[in-house]
Amino acid sequence: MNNNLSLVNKISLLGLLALLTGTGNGVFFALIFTLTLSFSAAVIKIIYLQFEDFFQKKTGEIILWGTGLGISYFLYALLPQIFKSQVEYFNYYFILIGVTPLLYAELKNRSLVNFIINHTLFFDLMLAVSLLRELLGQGSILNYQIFTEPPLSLAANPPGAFLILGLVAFIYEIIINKFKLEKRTANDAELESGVKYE
Amino acid sequence: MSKIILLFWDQLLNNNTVLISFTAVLLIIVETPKLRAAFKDGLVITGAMAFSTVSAWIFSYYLSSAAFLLPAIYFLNSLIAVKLIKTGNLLQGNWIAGIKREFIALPALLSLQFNIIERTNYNYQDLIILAAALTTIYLIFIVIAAIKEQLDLKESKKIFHKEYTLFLVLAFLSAVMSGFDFL
Repeated sequence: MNNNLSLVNKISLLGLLALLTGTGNGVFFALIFTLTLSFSAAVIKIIYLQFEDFFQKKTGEIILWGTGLGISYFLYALLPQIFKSQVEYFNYYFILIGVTPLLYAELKNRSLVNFIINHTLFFDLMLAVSLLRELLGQGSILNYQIFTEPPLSLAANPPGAFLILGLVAFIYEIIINKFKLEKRTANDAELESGVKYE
Repeated sequence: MSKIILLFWDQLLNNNTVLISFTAVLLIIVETPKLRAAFKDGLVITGAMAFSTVSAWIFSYYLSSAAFLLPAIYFLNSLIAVKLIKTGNLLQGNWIAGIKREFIALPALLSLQFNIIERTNYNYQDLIILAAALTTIYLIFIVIAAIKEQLDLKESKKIFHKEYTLFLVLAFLSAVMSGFDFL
């Protein structure tokens, strides 16, 4: 079943935990979550490319995973002090950003364009899922109440996370297939890096 | 019904680790083999998870005054558990985007440890919570393996053979587990 994964499928699986958990508390938290993930991914990529030979070894790989976890733990301690009014949103899921597969995806690929496309797609997915969940599940956007009663209270609960993620990923897949975006990005990445990605 | 059995059912249904807390969803979706092999492979994975969680429980009890160290200890536990899973011939080779297959067990193991330690009170009830969480992971592993096998066999369009079909199934399962309490 995992053969021939599409770009949308790949991205949603690479950031699955963030997509499912980061959106239950609304758009604001989803934005912080995504930006933290992308920032951590950029730091990890820079570190990896600086010491590529070391991190390709088994010990180096484990140290890199530990570094990712360390960065997210540091941000977990730091960010609640900046966003004091949102402190309840920073739970243990935030530390798990450090072990999100998207952080370590295509590390050998030096193409900046490919990195930006991957993270923009993830950001889009996260934003779409969180917007729908907050709007349908709580009747608000960025805590601004639009509906007095939530139109679909299911959306704010765990079943809603699976349901909306499944639907959004399906719609993205159709759009990407229609415009053949996947083939274009894969070709760009392979041309720039010389590495063939599955 | 006794308190212990009630607690077990509550952890298995209302506070389901996989469907309500999203623990190990990625690992279960990616690593589930054919149904026949899933019975044995599920045992290997839940066994390793049991090791890491019991270890986390012991360390969190004795190191409660140095809580800042716990994520590092959970990480080391997870690495040992990944090694245990690999000795069972699972998580071999590469996954996607240059990531090794063994990596996908790491978020599952870490989130299980964080999740369980958050629920524990360091008494006999913790054993029930742990047993319920591991039972959940094993059962969902088997269920998803069965559904994936059915999806592969069906003559539906290829676009429906992708992971989002599983998300819709998981949405229905989690609605059932939570007793449709959103209605």
